[in-house]
Amino acid sequence: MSTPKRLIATDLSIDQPSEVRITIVPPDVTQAGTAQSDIKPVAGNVSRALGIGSFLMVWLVVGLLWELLAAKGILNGRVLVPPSGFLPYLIQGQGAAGIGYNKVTFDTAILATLMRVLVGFILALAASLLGAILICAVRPFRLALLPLARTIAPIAPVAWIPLAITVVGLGSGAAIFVVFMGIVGSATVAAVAALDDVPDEYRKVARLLGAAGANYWLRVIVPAAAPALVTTMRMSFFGAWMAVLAGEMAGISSGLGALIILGQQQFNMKLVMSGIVVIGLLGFVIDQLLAWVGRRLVWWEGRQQRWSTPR
Amino acid sequence: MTELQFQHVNKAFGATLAARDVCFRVPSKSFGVVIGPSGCGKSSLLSLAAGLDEPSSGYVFLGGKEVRGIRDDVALLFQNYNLFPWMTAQANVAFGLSMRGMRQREASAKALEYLNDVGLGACANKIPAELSGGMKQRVALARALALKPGLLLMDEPFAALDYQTRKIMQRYVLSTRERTGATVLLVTHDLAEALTLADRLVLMSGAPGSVQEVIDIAAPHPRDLSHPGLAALMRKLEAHLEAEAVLSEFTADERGRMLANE
Repeated sequence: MSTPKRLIATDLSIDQPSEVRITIVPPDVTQAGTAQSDIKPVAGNVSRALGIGSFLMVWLVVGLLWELLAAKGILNGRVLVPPSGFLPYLIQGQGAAGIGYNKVTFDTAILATLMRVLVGFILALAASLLGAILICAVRPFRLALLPLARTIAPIAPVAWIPLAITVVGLGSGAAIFVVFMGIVGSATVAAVAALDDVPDEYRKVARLLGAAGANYWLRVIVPAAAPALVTTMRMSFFGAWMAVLAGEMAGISSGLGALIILGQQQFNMKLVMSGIVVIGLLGFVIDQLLAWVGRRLVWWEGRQQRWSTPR
Repeated sequence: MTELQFQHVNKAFGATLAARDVCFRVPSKSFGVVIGPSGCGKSSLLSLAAGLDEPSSGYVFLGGKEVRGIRDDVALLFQNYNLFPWMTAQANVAFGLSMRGMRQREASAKALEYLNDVGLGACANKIPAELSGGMKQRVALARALALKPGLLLMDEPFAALDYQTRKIMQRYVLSTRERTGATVLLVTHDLAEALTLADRLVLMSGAPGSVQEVIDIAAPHPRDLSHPGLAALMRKLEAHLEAEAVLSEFTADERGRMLANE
């Protein structure tokens, strides 16, 4: 390391009263210090690979432990069928329950459940965002809609099932209704909180720059609240996923939820375990998909992190 | 003509009086600096001048007209830059122009010109998180100047910057003021900055804020703060702020009694 030029000592004359003493201290360089080039940054794709690796490792350990306990007879393998029992069953596509018109297979159940959850989820998100903007923008809407959303939010999705079946009948319409009602209240309350939390400075700047109406809301306030809104979206999906499965289990006799209830009624535990695994995996994959969508929506946060992480 | 005038302005937030009977004037095209201790209502005065807030009583005039709401010819610069993090530097500057009716393509081209003016043309596509503090403040300044303001308000805009960047920005603001002829009102608690920039210095006392003294400084730029006149003023201001710091340890009632006994 080269010694820096001592500007004060050499280039300036400092006239100080006699009681003031200024001493230029040479730089204290410790050879053992870690050089900047020695620091090895962790690349983003490496950390992602580590995440996937740890995910697979955890499930491998759980699966092996499960197999071991079932083989030793500690777990009842007929009730808690181990992976070696239900995975081939699942992979070979044998999963089905019921007969004739009432026969439900895995692929049709997955498609029905996915369609219901996505339609209900997207409709509820759109309604929540629109409702939240109206609540935050127009005082009378805050007075009228916010108490309504706060009353609907704590109602468990299953509580809507009897009403849904009575009003819409059995089938997809009822499931979509349950998903919609199950999350629209909580998503609206969360979106209002996200919009209300936008820093006052952004509001001031936007107003000073002349933003008003739709421009103010869609180009400033919604993007400023986007990180919190994305979290709301992901949390709402879990609610929607649970709502559709609960609906299918408790009366809407089709879809993944109905399939595992039929499996339980026929004591087909391979089907039940396969159903549970498929529900977990699909939920995980859709959440990862939403996380990816979220990263695209709040793209600037990714660039911000790259900038603040040593490279 | 964009003379800024505060006439007997009081500003209260609930039961708390932030500013009391504030009266001062910043002549057109001059550089006004408000200096005072923290909590003396300096920033509130800027909000009032910007039309973001209204006085509890009294009047704020700009160019002879009472300020009632936000005006097109006023820009405000904040300490924290307040650039929109989801927009590039160019989009940040273009935003105000497009909000005032300019077509997006034209606004983008104009924004690039203003970024070039502040030496940041090469950073047009960077987002605020990829810029240093000084660069962010220059983008914020470009965004403000793009609106061609008659009045430029600045709320401790250089407080978060390092010494060298602060000096560069001060010189830049002075030259910009010369070039655009805008009236400027800057709020700061940095004495050296106040004496470097001000044509008119408004010295405030704290809690509630009130004008202690208005001082005109006629000295060419760049200023040498070791000049006897400026150095003497600096000592006077230091003494005032130190006395304010001592007073701030007491409650409002105690302060009132102490001042009454003087």
